[in-house]
Amino acid sequence: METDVFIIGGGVTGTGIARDLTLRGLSVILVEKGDLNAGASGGNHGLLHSGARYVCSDPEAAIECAAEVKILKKNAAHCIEETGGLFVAVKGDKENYIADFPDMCKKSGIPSEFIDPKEAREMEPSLSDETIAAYKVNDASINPFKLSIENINDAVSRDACYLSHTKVESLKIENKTIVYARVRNQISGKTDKIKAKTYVNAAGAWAGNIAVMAGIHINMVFSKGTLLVTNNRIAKRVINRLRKPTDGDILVPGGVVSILGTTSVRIKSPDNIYPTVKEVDDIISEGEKMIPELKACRYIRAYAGVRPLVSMGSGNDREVSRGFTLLDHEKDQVNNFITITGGKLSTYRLMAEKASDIVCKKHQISMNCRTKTIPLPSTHSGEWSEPGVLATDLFKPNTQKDPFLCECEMVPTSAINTVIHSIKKNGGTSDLSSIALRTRVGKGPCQGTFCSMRILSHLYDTGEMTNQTGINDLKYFLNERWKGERSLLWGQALVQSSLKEMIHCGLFGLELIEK
Amino acid sequence: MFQISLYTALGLSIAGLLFRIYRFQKKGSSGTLKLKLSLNLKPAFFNTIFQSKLFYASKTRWAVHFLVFSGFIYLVFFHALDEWIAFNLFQSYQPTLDPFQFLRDFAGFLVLIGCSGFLLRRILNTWINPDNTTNYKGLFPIILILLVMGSGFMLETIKIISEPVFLEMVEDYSDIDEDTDLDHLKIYWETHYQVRFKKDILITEEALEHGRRLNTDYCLDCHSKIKSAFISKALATQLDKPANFLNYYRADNWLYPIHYLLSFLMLVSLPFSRFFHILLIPFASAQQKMTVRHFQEKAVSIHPATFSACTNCGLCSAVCSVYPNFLITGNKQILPHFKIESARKMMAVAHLNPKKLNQLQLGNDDCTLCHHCTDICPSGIDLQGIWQTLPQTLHKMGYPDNYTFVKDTALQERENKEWEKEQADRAYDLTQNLTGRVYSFENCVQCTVCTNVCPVVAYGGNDNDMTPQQIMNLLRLGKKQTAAGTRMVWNCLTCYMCQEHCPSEIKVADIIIELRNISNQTTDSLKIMGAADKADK
Amino acid sequence: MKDKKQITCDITVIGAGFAGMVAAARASDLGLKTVQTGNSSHLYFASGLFDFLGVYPLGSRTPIEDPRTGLELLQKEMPDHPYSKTSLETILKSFDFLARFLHSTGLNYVKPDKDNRSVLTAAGTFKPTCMMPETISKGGLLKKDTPLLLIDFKGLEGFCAGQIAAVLKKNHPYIFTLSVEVPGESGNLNPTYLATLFEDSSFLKNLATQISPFSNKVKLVGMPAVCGINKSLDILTRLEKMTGLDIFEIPMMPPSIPGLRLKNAFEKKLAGNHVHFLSQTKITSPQFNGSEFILNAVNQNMETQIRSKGIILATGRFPGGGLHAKRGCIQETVFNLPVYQPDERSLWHHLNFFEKQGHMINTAGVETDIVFRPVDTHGAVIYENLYAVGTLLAHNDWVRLKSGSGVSAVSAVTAVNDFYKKNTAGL
Repeated sequence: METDVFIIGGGVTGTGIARDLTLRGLSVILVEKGDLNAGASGGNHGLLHSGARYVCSDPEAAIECAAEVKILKKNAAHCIEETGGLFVAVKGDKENYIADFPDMCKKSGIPSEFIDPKEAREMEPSLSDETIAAYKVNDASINPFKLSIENINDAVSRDACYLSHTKVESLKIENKTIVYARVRNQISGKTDKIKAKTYVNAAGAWAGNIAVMAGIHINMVFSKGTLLVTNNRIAKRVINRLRKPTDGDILVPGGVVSILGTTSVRIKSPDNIYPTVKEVDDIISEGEKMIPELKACRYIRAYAGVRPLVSMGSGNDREVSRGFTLLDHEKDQVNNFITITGGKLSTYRLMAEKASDIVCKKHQISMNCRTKTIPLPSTHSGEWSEPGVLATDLFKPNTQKDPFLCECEMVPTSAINTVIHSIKKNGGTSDLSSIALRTRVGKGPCQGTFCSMRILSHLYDTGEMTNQTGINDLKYFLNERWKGERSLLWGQALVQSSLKEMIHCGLFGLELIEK
Repeated sequence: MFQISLYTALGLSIAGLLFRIYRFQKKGSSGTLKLKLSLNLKPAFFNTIFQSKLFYASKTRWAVHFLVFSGFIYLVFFHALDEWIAFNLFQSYQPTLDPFQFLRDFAGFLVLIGCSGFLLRRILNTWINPDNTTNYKGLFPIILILLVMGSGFMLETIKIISEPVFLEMVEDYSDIDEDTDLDHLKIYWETHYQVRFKKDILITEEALEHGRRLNTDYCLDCHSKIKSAFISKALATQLDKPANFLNYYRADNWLYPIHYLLSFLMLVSLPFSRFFHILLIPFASAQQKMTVRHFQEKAVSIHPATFSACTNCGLCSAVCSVYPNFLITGNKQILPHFKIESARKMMAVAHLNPKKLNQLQLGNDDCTLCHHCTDICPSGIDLQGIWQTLPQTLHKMGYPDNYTFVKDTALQERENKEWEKEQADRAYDLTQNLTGRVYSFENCVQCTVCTNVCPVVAYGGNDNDMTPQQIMNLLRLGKKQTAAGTRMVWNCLTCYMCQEHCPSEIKVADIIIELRNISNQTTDSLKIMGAADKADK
Repeated sequence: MKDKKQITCDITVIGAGFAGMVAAARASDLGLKTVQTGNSSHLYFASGLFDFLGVYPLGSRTPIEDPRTGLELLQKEMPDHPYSKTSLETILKSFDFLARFLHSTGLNYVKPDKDNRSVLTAAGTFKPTCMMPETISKGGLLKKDTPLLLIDFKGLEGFCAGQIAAVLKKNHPYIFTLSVEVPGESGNLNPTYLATLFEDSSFLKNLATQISPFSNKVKLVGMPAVCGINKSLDILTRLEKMTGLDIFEIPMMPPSIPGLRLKNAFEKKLAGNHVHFLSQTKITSPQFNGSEFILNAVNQNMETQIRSKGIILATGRFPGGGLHAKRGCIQETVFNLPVYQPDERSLWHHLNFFEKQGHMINTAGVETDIVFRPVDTHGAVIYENLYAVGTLLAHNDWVRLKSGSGVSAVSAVTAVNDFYKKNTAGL
């Protein structure tokens, strides 16, 4: 296979670059070893920062955030909910941080407005009685899955090629230039060579692994963050703790749920991460001081993501700049290779722009970046990543003719079929996991108990699946959901997963099946 | 002048009648319900002549009404129309001759007693029963009749005591020209007929005897002794003092036009007042009652004239099965006699005050179609037929029932909370607030048992949209108004199978009922706002 | 306004799941005045299959063929397991009682003599079971060369004949599939509704017509477990006659029709046996006054005070509500009995959902003496006449061992027998 630019990594950065480059006329192939947003882009808070969180610790990042957020709110409005945000302090929080806050915001050009704590509690009834200060900011919540889906769909509409489950095994270098990349399809096992003029390493936390293939060493630091998803939406706005950033500081609305986080645990490798029981307990202990309801509410699942940070040498990961790292490896004797990593979800577009600028320079294309001005189109298949989208005026439910296959999140058969079609169009295989990624299937309270079998049967019914792999697919899907549930199985969540075990192990005996 | 006013009044009355008939026909045909006039004459006859329905409803009220009815009928035929009827039937008829003199007073007396009864009941109602049935429309005929009776008696009384009338009569009907004869006659008439003369005349036995003979010769053929006109006689006795004054100024000359003009007023106002019941009740009683067959054949219509046959007697409400509902909610439109008036007004002006419309619809919804009101209605109106067709009529006017309205209302309208400004006067039981508390439905494990046992899901056919467990999911996703607008919530039979079979003990049915209440609340308000908009245009 | 009542009885069964039903059946059978509380709708989650011991040891990938030999090993190696408190004979007697009882309700169950049968499930896998409804039984007799027809119904979600066929293809070469369209139905079909359609003879005729073309190609037909709610065996037999083929039901995801059949059978028969069932009530504030228990059975509409000599606690685990897990510890919800459990939450569940050894939390529960009376941490019986039975018991990962019904049956029957022996000696 041949192309102009070969992008490694299917997160928001990779897909953002694919869109940016195709808008400037280049052809692109994007490979991802798993599926979209398999890394940090799929394990974050979904927060579109106002920047206020970093005014004290990382003013550079704060300013960058504020500017980008404005652009995103205009161009990708369909991926964003303008929730607004609050910074609140409770009794016991450091007084001088609270006092310094408004000035620091001003310095970074970030608007913040003082709110009387009583008024804040009227705006958000879930806030604690012990709230002593509150500031209003322009936080918003963003759907990173939708973002990546729309970016890649847009790129594909200009003939970009997206290969999921395709892992880069090696890079062949001759005369300070990468000649081709050898890739292997994780499902079929087949290998292939992809030739491109330029190679972009947007592999996020795995950037180091890719760079090594070109003989380049990047000092990666991995910081795991765990997040919890509640059963229902607790606050209208983003609620931040008004103190120096630590664990359990933020509650972000995610459609019909709320996401509470996070932690920062140094880990050795970005693979096989999972939320631990201790992290979950810590997050809840901190969060409940801000919002007492968080102590007893039902959590549906927990997930963990890895922050790819490039170390400059200090100890505390929170002090590593959240600003991104863009490396043109010409200085490392590889002329057609760049790495982009680090950064924040909020600034992805800027990262993609900067990376694409360098690529275009290498291709001698003088066109300027167009993603600032051209809005991100909204596609039909992108809509299904939003929760409860069925229950709007856009869709008239008719459960007789178009039954729900996922009851919890109300995803009808027609939606599943749309998503299957889109997956196949992008060159992927339609199975439970790829469908789950693009929809809310399995993300509701039942965590796949019933919908897994329904969708699997549907796949067989429609001929999408014909062989024995169905059972493995089912087991993989359930295990993926398990990763998110395991650390918070108490109360009602435990009841639900016990039921799941009763059915899939007790009746179906899936644990007895070898792969 | 009498003739002119008579013919004018008659003309106006007939014109009024024709106008009303025209309006009734117009109203009836503007509805899309098929107009089918069919007559049932036997009940009409009995009800008209004997007020048989009123008799079965309340003997007391029948008796009081019958007093007025009989007296009035007598007076119409044997007094007002005596020239055409009485004089032709009886050769020797004279109004002042017994038994006619007596009967005339007696009839008037009956009417007076009856009308007093009418007024007494209304006064007592104001004290005892605040949901009284009195309104000004009912008082007008009563007052008018009393005035006519009163003026009639006064006229008779004046005529009795009138010296000028006496002299005119002597002039016209006797050939007495000698003063002594006249005096003797005067004496006799002063004694036995209570005429009041200016000058006192000496009364002697012979004079009286002479007068009696003269009376026998000239007067007795037409004038019975005044004793039988017992009311006027009593009144005449009271008028001793002002008698000469009244006689001098010929009170009879201006009382007479008052009396007949008042009567003509009755005639003219007949098509426009409660007097119309005289014609409408026979008409309404003659209408065939609606049956199931009529509904099946879609031959349903209520002639608009029957609405106006209501005399506001209130007997229908006294026997209404859902009267207790009115006691609880205070919605007067539950009561048939208020309902029919609202319905009549609504058909006349094609729209009502929006809140009134809402109350009317709600009130009519409570009707259990038990038929008590129709059984008892003395006017013979097919009330139940009206209640059964009222929803369709309201629908045609753009005021459908909530079940239909919800289907056609966009979610945005229900969600944007504008409707909260316009609240209907109905209490919705939202006290459990199950839909507002996450804990009510968050334990759902998605087992679909509720859906599997629900008869509406199994047999509801094409109208099914969401299942009970999907309603729980909608609530969990924060979509309360979407849930409240689903067909499931409205088609739910409240059989409680879902709630009784739920392994997680979620109050599925209670939640659905609460959603229906919420939907009713929203829909009522939206309809009021919508109707108000239409009215403004 | 709640309806308030008072009842006195010999024994109260708290719980209307499988163990509770067996206990109430045994108690009423022995003539004890019995009251039962709980929510019988949990039987919708029962597959209708009864297991004695399906897998041993934990972690083995192959189900055992003969549960008796498995039991022998288990009693040696797992002395804390409920089965180790009893004997093979008692277990078999309990199953016999169950079979007799179910037979008297009109529900036909089949119990092969010695071995477990591996019954085909909707996932295409096999579940080892020792006792099953006759309508399902032939699904445990699949041989590799048996020509088989699998049917599904358009609109019945979660069951696809093609899916099962794809999984079986490796070992069973002769499989045909048929997707049946139900006349007059397009769109979603709920299992209970479909099951009621089977009770209509014209539906059966139509189904038989669609199956008949396969009658010379196959010997055996498998269909989802929706063959009627009542008289399922009669309907199945009729269908077999119409098609000339053997037919079996395949258990699928809840709501389970065989589970519903059990629920109906138990409820009806127990009512006939004068068991007083307080449906959907929860027990609050249980007390013991030295000779009897005083309980309040409460639901939205009524409050009943029960005075009972003995209690059978058959409240189940987490789904049933017998155990409740807070963030740090597990509690027993009615009497707050001590619960055997892992030391901390991070030990409750393994990282792999399908971990062969199972999850440690599944062995948590109430520990008892040999007649199933809960004991405290010193091993002393807490109340003479309080028994704990069923999945509430500790040291039994029934999901991995496939031992749920066996433990429930033997503990329920043993407990009731013991109570009867001890408390009716004078009668």
